Amino acid sequence: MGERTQGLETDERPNSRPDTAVDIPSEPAANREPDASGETVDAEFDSIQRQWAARLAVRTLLTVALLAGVLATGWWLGFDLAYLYAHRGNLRSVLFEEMLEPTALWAQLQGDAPRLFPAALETLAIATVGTAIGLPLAFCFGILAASNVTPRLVHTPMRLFLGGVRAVPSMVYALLFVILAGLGPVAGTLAIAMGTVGDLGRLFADEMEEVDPTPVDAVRSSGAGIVATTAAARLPQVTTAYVAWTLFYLELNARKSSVLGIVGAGGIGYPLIMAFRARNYTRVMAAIVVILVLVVGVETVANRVRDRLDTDRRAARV
Amino acid sequence: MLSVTALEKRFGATPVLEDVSFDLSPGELAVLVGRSGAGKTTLLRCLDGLERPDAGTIRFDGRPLETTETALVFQEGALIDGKSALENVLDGALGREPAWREVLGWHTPEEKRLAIEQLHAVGLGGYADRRVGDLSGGQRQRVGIARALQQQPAVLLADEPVASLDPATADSVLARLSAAVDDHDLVGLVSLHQPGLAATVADRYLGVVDGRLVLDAPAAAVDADRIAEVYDDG
Repeated sequence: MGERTQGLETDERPNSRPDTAVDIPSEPAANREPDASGETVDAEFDSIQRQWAARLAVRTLLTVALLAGVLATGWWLGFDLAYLYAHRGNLRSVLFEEMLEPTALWAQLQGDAPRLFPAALETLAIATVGTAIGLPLAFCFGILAASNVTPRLVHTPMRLFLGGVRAVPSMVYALLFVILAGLGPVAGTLAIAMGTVGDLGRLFADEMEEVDPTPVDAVRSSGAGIVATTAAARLPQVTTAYVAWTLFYLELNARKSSVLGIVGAGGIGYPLIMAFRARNYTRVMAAIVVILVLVVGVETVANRVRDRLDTDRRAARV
Repeated sequence: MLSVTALEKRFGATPVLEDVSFDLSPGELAVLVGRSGAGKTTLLRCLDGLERPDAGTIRFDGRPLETTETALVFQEGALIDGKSALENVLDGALGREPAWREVLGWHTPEEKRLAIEQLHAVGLGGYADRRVGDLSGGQRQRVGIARALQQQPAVLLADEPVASLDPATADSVLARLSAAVDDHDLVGLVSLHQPGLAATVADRYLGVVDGRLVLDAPAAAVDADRIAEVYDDG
């Protein structure tokens, strides 16, 4: 009797613990123990291998498809490497015999300086005043367009409005404002301001939506309204980014306004396009050199200001 | 054997660690106690190779300790939120893998298998493909431990690994750390603020006050009063 019971017990052991019995399919290794999920290392490894292989296949396929798409579109545009190669002589002669010929370029720069430098200064003024006009508008519209600040009824139309402003290229704004303000830098300044509102407004809104909501809740729990909460908890989180974006837009606008003269909206673009029309490529290069100096100059100053702000903030934190 | 001798670290003119010396044996989990700002984090970062000490030596079995031999578990896990648990754990192996593997996300089956085993070892079986951003605090910290173990270190360091966890979760995370030290015969050094929790895992206590080591004794020889003194000093 005793023996029989014992025998039964050992025989029935696997069945008496059904929960573990299911999970022990004769695998000896210790690390194949099942856990809460019921998955063994082996099973999970296999499923991950399959999953990653599928992911790799999808990614490869997408990359190949994208590449094929770009090539096909390029072909549709009329890209013909053989044509470009056959005509390389044209570009080479213009580039090296006219544009980059040092003595001719130097003479041209000296001769054109009295006209180019005032024009460059005008371009700088267009960029600065345009950014200054656009900045406060971008700031207001940007904050109103942030979904974590204003209700849907406000931020959705605001986003659409900013998108609409952005849809029109600066060159088209310049042409429109020439009708309003006549030929000259005022039209260019207004065009730059419009571009700044559209782009910077969108960037300000996106940046605002990334803020950490916890301190915002903390301030709101004091009973503060939307304006006070935004000023106290949201703006301090985006100040550095806003300043950095504004400086970047000043750089970008200096570059943009250097070609607005092409449509008669003032600045260095006018002498540039006139030189192109006259096929005087040495003069074109002289204008490009001045634009280069202008843009690099603005960029250098902007970088200095950014670095200074960074160190100030770091010093304030310690 | 991990041997730290006359370790010194200054930030600018401020001394943070002064003349810190101690030895730790494999399989031994030491708990580092001390007030905030006493130099615990700096000591752990020096050991891990994230900071260069200004003076002193850190040796393991008589030779200089390599960065790849030490793994550090950070506060709140310090995981990359956009990546899955498995990808985070695989980051632990980057010290021995060529960089292109991480760039292309093309890891060897051996590393992946090891990483899944580490996740199972910390009780996260079945979590490999979960985004760590969706995990709870305790789960995230266990992914952090799995990542440290994936590195296959000789020295396992942890900087307040349970600071933001509830007591029960803190217990289980510490138990995982302690088990890892035992299982792999690692030198373990964990900074903790809760003496009660420390008592459950500590084989040894190290105490720092103002950058100086004031306590270095086996757990059996240290009572609650002695630890309280470390917090009261200064």
